[in-house]
Amino acid sequence: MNEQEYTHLREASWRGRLTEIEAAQLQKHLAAHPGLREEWETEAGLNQLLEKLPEAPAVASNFTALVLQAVERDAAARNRKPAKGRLDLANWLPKAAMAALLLGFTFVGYHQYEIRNRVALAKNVAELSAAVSASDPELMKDFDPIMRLSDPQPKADIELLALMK
Amino acid sequence: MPTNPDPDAALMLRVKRGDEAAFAALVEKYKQPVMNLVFRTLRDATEAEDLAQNVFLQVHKSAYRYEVTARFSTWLFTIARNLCLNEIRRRTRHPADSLEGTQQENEEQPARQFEDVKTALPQEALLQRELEQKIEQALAELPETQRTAILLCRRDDLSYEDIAKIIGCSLSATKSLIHRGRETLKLKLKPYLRSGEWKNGP
Repeated sequence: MNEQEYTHLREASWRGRLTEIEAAQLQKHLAAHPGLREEWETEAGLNQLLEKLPEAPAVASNFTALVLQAVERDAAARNRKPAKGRLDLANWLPKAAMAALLLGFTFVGYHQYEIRNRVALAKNVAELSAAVSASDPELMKDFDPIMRLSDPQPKADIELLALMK
Repeated sequence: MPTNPDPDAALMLRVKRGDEAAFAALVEKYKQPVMNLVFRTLRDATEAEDLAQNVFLQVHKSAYRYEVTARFSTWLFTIARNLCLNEIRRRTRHPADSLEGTQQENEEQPARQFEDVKTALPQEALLQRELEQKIEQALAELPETQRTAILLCRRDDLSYEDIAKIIGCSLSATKSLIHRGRETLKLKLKPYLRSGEWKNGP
């Protein structure tokens, strides 16, 4: 038996009793390696002690009944109150309908406003274009002098100033 | 597991379909094994029983998503361990009812988990009882993963692979946890193991 097989036997012993074949293999190995005997005896001692470890305190005799009651209570609570994240249609549907209605009104209102704006703009453009097309070119003859007159701070006439000097 | 169908998994599938009798059968079968694991983690019988009930409640609540990917017991003990860890975390956040407090209380009443028959017991049985308490204490002092792995290792129906799944470690890491835990136990219980007193038990 090699080291790996010995380790395998030791791990098997942790889980319970060895089979007769395994026990015989082990005895043979321990006979060939007396140095391992003490280690094995400690292992076996601990195995036996763990095997004899008593159960935890027994559960109440009505344990199963209590669990079933808890399950019923939990189911009843879940029926009363919808689970978090689950959509409660009866509760949410009117709210969603109201929100959709408000959204619809807002959209229609905005659309009407846009249409009115565009109509007004088109009307203004039409009036302006009619005015421009109706103007006489003769009227534009004195445009520059008139513009200059309307200038609040006329620029100095450099040529005239030079002549005066 | 097509070659060796797990009867408990079959019961759990019935629970998934709404069979309450199957659920009751599973609770009956596993109530004590779950209690054993939970009690040795929390070290308080009342709290352990409450938590064991919660384990089965959780099993019932999760039944709708149960799939036979492993043994039923593996799934059950995974739930039990997770709830234990949650409880330990809760106690850490609320130190007023910490594990330490419970342990101290337990130390004051070492016979808490045994019936009070010390006086009537023969010397041999008293010795055995004392040893059991020593190993209970040594187990309680182990890190949670080592203790859980060692306790699950005692169950015939769980393979090392199953234990690894419950602990959430690889197979080799699980064996290493068990080995280290056992080494610690051997060190702590060496005088008793050497003297062979355990052999005198009932």
